[in-house]
Amino acid sequence: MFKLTFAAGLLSAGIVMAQNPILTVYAPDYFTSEWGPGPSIEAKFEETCNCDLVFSAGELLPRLVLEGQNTKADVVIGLNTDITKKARELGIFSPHNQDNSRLNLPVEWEDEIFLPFDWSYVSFVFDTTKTNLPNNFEELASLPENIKIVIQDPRSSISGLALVLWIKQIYGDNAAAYWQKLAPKILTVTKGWSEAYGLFTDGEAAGVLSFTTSPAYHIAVEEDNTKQAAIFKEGHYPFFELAAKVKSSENDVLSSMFMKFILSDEFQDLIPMTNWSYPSAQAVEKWPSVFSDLPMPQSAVYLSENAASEITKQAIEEWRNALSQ
Amino acid sequence: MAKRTFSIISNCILLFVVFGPLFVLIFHADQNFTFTAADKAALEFTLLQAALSSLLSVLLAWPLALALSRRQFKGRQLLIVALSVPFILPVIVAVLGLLSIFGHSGILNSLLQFFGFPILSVYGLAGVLLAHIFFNIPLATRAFLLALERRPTELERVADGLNLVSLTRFWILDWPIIRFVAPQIFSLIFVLCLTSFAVVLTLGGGPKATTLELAIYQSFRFELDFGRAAFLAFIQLCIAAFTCTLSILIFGLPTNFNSGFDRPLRKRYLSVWSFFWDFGVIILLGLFLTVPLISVLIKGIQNFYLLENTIWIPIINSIILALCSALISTILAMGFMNRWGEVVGTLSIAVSPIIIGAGLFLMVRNITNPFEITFWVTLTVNSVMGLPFSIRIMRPASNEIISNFRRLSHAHAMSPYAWFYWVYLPRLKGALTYSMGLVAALSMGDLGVIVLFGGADFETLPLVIYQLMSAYRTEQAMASAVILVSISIGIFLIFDRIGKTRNA
Repeated sequence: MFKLTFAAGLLSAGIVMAQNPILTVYAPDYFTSEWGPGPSIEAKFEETCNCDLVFSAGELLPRLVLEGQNTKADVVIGLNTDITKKARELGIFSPHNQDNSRLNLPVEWEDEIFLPFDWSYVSFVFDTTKTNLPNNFEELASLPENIKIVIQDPRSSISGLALVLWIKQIYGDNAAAYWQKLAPKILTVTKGWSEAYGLFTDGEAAGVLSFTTSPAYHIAVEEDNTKQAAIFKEGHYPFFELAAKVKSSENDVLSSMFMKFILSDEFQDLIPMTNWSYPSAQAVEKWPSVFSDLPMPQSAVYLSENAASEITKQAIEEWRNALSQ
Repeated sequence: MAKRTFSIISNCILLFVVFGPLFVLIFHADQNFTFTAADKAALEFTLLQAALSSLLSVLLAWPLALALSRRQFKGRQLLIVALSVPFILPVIVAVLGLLSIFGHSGILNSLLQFFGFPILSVYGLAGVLLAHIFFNIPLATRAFLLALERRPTELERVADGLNLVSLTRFWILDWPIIRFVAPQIFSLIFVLCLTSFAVVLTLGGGPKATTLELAIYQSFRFELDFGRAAFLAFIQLCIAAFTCTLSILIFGLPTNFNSGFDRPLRKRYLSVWSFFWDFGVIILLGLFLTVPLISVLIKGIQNFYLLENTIWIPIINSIILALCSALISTILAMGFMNRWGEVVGTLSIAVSPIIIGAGLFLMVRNITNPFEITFWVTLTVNSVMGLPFSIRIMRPASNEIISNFRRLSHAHAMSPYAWFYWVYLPRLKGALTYSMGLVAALSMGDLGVIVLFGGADFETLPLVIYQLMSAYRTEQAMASAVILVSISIGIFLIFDRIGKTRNA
C-alpha cells in the first residue's frame, strides 16, 4: 500500500512538474551567477508566474545567430545599446509592448524592441587616497605623471567601446589628438572589464574605466568610501542593459509577462544591490540611499545606434593608431 | 594491426573535434576573406612575440634543467612541483601575481623608488615576454629534466673517465638531448603563445600588442562575422602547422643513446665554478617563478574567510572534468606516438575554443543542442587540448620501450596484447601518470568553451573565479584561485605517487 501511494506521489509530482511551462531566458554569466541578479529575479518571478524560469548563461548574440530559428530562448536579457543595431538586423526579436513612458532614464527611450532594465554612466573610478578626482577630460590627461589608469579594449569590451564613442562624440575631429594626449596616462588596456577592475582593486593603477555606480559596491559591501567616480562636466556616456522578446518563442504569454515584470518594482528593487547599477523604471526616491547619494553627471552624451555605428569603425581606428605610437 | 587501427581512430577523433568545426564554420557563413592593415600589424606582432617567447623559454629552461639534474638540495622536489603551478593558474590571477612583483606598484618598483631610481614600466613587449616565459619555462624545464634523467648514467661515467673538456662533453652528452627535446617544446610553446590574447593585451600595454586571436574574438562576438573569424583562425592554424612541421620534422632529431643499466651515479666531478653557476641559475629562476606565486598565495589565503559553501559544487565538477579529460587525453595520445602524430596533435591547441565551440554546434545541431550538453562538450574540448602535452610526455618513453624490448618480445613470440599489457604498459607507467597528472591539472584551470556554452547548469571552478571577478569580488576570486591551485597540485602529486610505485 505504502509503495503504491509512494508511486502515485511520484507520478503526480511528475505531472505537476510537467504542467509548469518553462520560460527560457538567455543571459550573460555575470547576470546568472550567484552574485548577480539572476537567482533572486528567478525566485521573485516564479512566485507569481506558475512557471519555471530557467536561465541559460553564455554569449548572447553569437549563440542566437548560431541557433537561428531553432533557438530555445524566449527572452534575452543583458544586451547593450552598442550592439542593438546588429541584434535588430537579425530580425529575431518581437516588440516588447511595454509603455516606454514608465522608464526613468537620462534619455528619451523610444525603442519598441529593446527594453532597458538597468543603466549607468560610463566613468573613471579612482582611488581617492592616491589622487584628486579630475573634473573633465583635460584634467584627466594632465593628472600627475605617476597616476595611471587602466582602460578596456574597444574591440573586445563593450565598456571600452563606450569610452571610444564617448570621446569621439565630445572631441569629434580632435579625438585622435586627445587620445595621443591621454596615451601616457594609460597604464594598459585589457580584454574586458573584470581584468581592468582587478588591476585597479589590486592597487596596480589609481584609476579604471568603469561606471558611476561602481563605488556603490565598495560603500555598501566593504564600507570603503575611498573609491569614487570622477564626474566630468562634458557629460557622460550612458550605458543601458536591455531585454528583448524572441519572435520564435512559443511562450508568448509568459515572455510578455516577464517583460512586464522587468518594469515592476519587484524586479527594479533587486537591481541596484545585485547588478550595481541604477534601476531603469524607478524614481530616484525609491533607490537605495547608497545609490541616490552618489554624485550624478549633469548631462548624458548619448548616441543613437545608427549614429554610433557610423562612427564606430573610425573611432576605434583613431584609438588604435594613437595608442600604437 | 590493432595499433594502427587505434591510431586511425584517434586521428579521426581529433579531425572531427578540431578541424571539422573550423571548416564547417568557414563554409557555413558568408565567406569574408578580408585581411586589413590592422590584421597585418596584429599578425606581425603575434609572430614576433610567439617566436621570442618560445625561444627565450627554451634557452632559459636548459640551464635550469641541467642544474636541477646534477644538484641535490633540500626543497628540490618541492621546487619541481611548484614549477607546474604558473601553468594551471587562471590567466588574470597569474597576471596579478606577476604584477605584484614587476608592476607599476609592484615590489621591484617600490624598491627602485625607495633607493631613488626611476620607475621601470613592464608594459610592452618586455611584459608580454616576461609573462610568457613565466608560464612556459616550467614546461620546458620539465621536458628537459625528464630527458636528462633518462640519459644512461654510464655516459657520464665514461665522460668523466675520459676527462672530456666541457665543450666536447656538451657536444656528446647534452646536444643530442637538446636536439631532440628543444624543437618539440619550442613548437608547443610557440603555438600556446600564438593563441594568447588576454595576457598579451594586458601586459603589452595597448593595441600595439594585439594578436590575431583578438581579431577572431572581435569578429565572432561583436561583428557576428563567423566567416571572417574562421578565416583568421585558419591562418593561425596554418602558421602553427608550418612551425610544428619545420621544428619537429626538420630540426628534431631522435637521441641515439643506447640503454644503460640504471645504475645511480655516486659521484659527479663538477668544477667549483659550475657549482656557483648552477645554484645561481636555480636561485634566480626559482625566485622569478615562485615569488609571484607566493604573492598570489598570500592574497588568497588572507581571503579564505570570504569563501562560501556553494563553492563545493564547482570544485567537484572541476575535479570530475579534470580526471575524465586526463584519462581520455592520455589514451588518445597513444594513437599519436610518432613524429607526424606530434605535429597533428599540437594543432589542436592552435584553434581557439570559441571557434571549436561554434563549429561543433553547427555540426551536431541536427542531432542535439550542444548548449544542453555542456559537460560533454567541455570534456571533449579539454581532452583534445591536453593531447599535445600527453604526446610530448609519452612519446620519448614509448620510443625507448619499443627500441629496447621489441626484439626480445619477438624472440619470445609474445602476442601484441601480451606485449602491450606485460611489457609496454608497466614501463610506460611513469610517463603515463605524469601525463595524466599534467592534463588533469591543466583541465582544472581551463575556462575554455564553457564561457560560450554557458554555466547555469554546469559550473566549474575557473568559471566561478571569472564570475567573481565580474562581480567586483577580486579578493574572493583570489581565494578561490588558491583552492584551484591546491587541488590541481594535489591531483598532480597523487598521480606522481602512483607513477612511482613499483608493480608487484
